[in-house]
Parts: sequence; C-alpha cells; structure tokens
Amino acid sequence: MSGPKKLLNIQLTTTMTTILDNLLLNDRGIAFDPVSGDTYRLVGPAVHLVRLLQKGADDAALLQYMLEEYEVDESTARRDLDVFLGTLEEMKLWEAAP
Amino acid sequence: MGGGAVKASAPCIAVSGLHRGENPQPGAGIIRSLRRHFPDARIVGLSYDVMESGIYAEGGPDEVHLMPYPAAGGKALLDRIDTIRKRTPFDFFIPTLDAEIEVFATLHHELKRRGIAVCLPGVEVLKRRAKQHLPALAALCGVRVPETRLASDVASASEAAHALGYPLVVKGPYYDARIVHNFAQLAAAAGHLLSEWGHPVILQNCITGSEFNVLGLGDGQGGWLGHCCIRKTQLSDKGKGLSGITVSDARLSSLCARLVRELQWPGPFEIELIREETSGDYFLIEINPRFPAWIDFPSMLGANFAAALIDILKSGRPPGSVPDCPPGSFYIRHQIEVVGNLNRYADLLKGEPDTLPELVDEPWNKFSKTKSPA
Repeated sequence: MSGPKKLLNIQLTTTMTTILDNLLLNDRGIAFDPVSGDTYRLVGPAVHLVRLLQKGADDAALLQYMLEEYEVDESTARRDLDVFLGTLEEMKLWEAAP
Repeated sequence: MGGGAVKASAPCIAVSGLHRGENPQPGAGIIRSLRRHFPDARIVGLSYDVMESGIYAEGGPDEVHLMPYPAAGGKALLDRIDTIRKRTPFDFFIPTLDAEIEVFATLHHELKRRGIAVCLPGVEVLKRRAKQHLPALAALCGVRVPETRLASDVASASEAAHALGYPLVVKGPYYDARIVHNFAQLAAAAGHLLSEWGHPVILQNCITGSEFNVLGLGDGQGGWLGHCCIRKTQLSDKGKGLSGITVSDARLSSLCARLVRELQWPGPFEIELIREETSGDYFLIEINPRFPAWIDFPSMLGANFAAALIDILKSGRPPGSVPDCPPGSFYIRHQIEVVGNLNRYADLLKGEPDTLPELVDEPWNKFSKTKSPA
C-alpha cells in the first residue's frame, strides 16, 4: 500500500469506528479501549494522529500535521499515513463506511 | 487476645476462605478491604484447614478457629459457631465458599436467632443460578449461554458430547472445569468430576474469546449498590485470573443488571462471562453467590464492597451507592511467602483458638524428628 491515490481511496471509503472514538489516550503512548479492555501502544506520531481523528480531522489535516511536525517530503508523509490508516483498518479501528 | 479486646463500637466480623495459594479464596481480600474501612474491627477467621495461608498472613484475622467441613451438615456448623461465639461473640459473618454457602443458606433463621447478621440468598434463588439451571435463567433475561447438556454418568456424557461436538468444556456442579477434545479425555474428566463432586456433570460448547468478570452487591429488591467489571488479562493454567483490568461497557452492565433484577439478588455476587471473539456477544458462564478473590482490587480504587456489605448488615438498609471504578486500572496477582508458627499450628489442630502471631521461640532442631506440617 503506497501512494497518494490509495490514501485518497481510504479517505473516501472508510470511517472511524466507535472503538477509535472511545479510546482513552495518555501522552505516554498508551491507548485503552474501556469497553473491551484492549490496550494499544502508539509510537511516533500515532498518538497525535489518533487524537486528530477523534476530533474529526480529515485526510488533509492529518497530512498537514505530518508535514508540519516532521522533516519529511509529502510523498513519504502520504505513504506513512497510508500505512498507519491501513494498520487501523486491520485492527478494526477504522472500517468501511456503511 | 480474646473477645474482650473488641471495642464497643468496632464491628466483630467472621470471615471464611482464607487461603491465597494457586487458587485463592476471597477471605483474605475481604479482610484487607474491611481493615481499610474499619481499622478497629475484630476479624475472626473461620478456617477449614490449618494450612490456609491467610491464617498466617500479616494483617490477617485477629484470631482463627477451625470449622468442620460443610459436608458435616448444618448442625455441626452451628454447634461449632456456638462454641466459637462463647469466646468471641462475632456479630457479622461473611461466608465466601460455594460449598458452605449452600449449607448456610438453609440456616438463615438459625443465624439470625443467634444475632449473627449475614447476607445470603434463599435456597430457591441459589438454585436458580446453579450451573445446571443457568440456561433457563439466561433465557428469561435475554442472555446467551453456551449450548449446555447435563450428564449423570460417562455414557450419557458421551451422548451429550456427540450432540455438541468437540472441543467442549466439562464442569462439576460446584468447582472445576476442563476442556476436552476427544472421548478419551471426556471419559477421564467426567469420571473424575463425578467421583469428586457428584452428578451432574455439565457439558458446554467452547466459546472462544476474552473472559469478563463482574462483581457487585445486590440490594435484594432487584437493584444493586454498585458493580465493578473487569476483563481478565492473564490466566493461570487453571483458568484463574492472574491479572485483570477495569472496563466500562454499558451492554455488559445492562446484561448483569437484568440477571440481578430477575433473581432479586441479595448481597455479594460475581458473574463470569466470555465475550465471543467472532460475534462480540457475551455468553454467561457462571454466577457465584459470593465475592471473588479479587474483591480487594476495587476497594483499593475506592469501591469497598466488603465494607458496604457490613454497612448494610449494620443498618438493615442499603447505604449510599458504591462508587464506580474508572476503566483502565489493572491488578496483578502477587504471591508472597508467609511465615507459619508451629505453636499456632498445634493450637489450631487441638481446637484451641488461634491468636495473633507470636515470635517463634522454639529452635527448629527441636522439631527435627517430627513430620512436616505440609
């Protein structure tokens, strides 16, 4: 999975699940699902990306955050974001819109 | 220290189930919770075995008395209680073991007549939450249970297994559960459970998923004073929760509330469920008529269910609600060694009341020719 096209595709066909919406986050990179008891470790920009998603940020806002906070070109940022969202989807935190 | 050491205002509370070994009993956790809220309380330990580790634990009971096994019957238990109360007239009793609760539930009036406050369900209510009757209760409450069959011998267990398919869980009516994958394992497990606990053995489909436990305190009128939900995060070989984390799921709470309402459950309970991995549905596994071994965990978070129980028994009416436990706190079971004392051990064996720890004043070489207490 790479490239801006794929990223755009994810943006258009996926939505945040209730699980992601309800995740409790701390600044040390631990996310906790209070319903299932599942615990996640978030590294690097993932904590901020999840916080942004919980606030309803769209793909452009996520990408903007990556570009502003990290010394990275747009292509690399899009690829990393794509991988991150793909991981969320695999973990069922991010799913296809009904 | 005898009964005279009890302060007039301090409650005197008897607690059973003091062992904290591989399969810990609730009593030691209850005592810790009680001491947190009632620092002056006098705690009387009722023990069924001199090797119950909680007898010797720091902060444990102020005195310990051996009890006859529940199988000896109600009269034997009451006679022993009468003898103990001549020395230390305890006012409250928190039984913690399934087998003794079955007997004490029939002695409600006898205990009350003696001035012992205890919170127990009636015999019929107790029966409705027994493992073999759970499917009927669950159906009334709209709760799922694993498909269940009962068997009274190995042959009928084999027939039930044929209908259910393997793997399946085989359970005794009170304790013990084993997963079996074929007839040979089933025959061994069912034979063992039948000889150990009597019939029926309960056979159920295996549900794959995480285990959730809910403890609470029913008000006897269909409501509760509070509850605490955990997901077990580490299991021992025997399936006991070595660690757990508090969760907050409205669906889980609502399901448990329906069971408590239907039973009009009075007092402590623990509801065990599995959340099926594939469907996300909760399956009811067991309802225990007592506090669980992890009772002191919510107490450390400010939800002291053991103290609330004594408050109910003292006032005869429910006190304020027990606070909710915030999700995301976890416990880890931490086992330590406790020091026993042969003087105390000998006193208990003789039927003498055991008291607070004394320093060991006999060198071990004097005991070199005696058998180990183990």
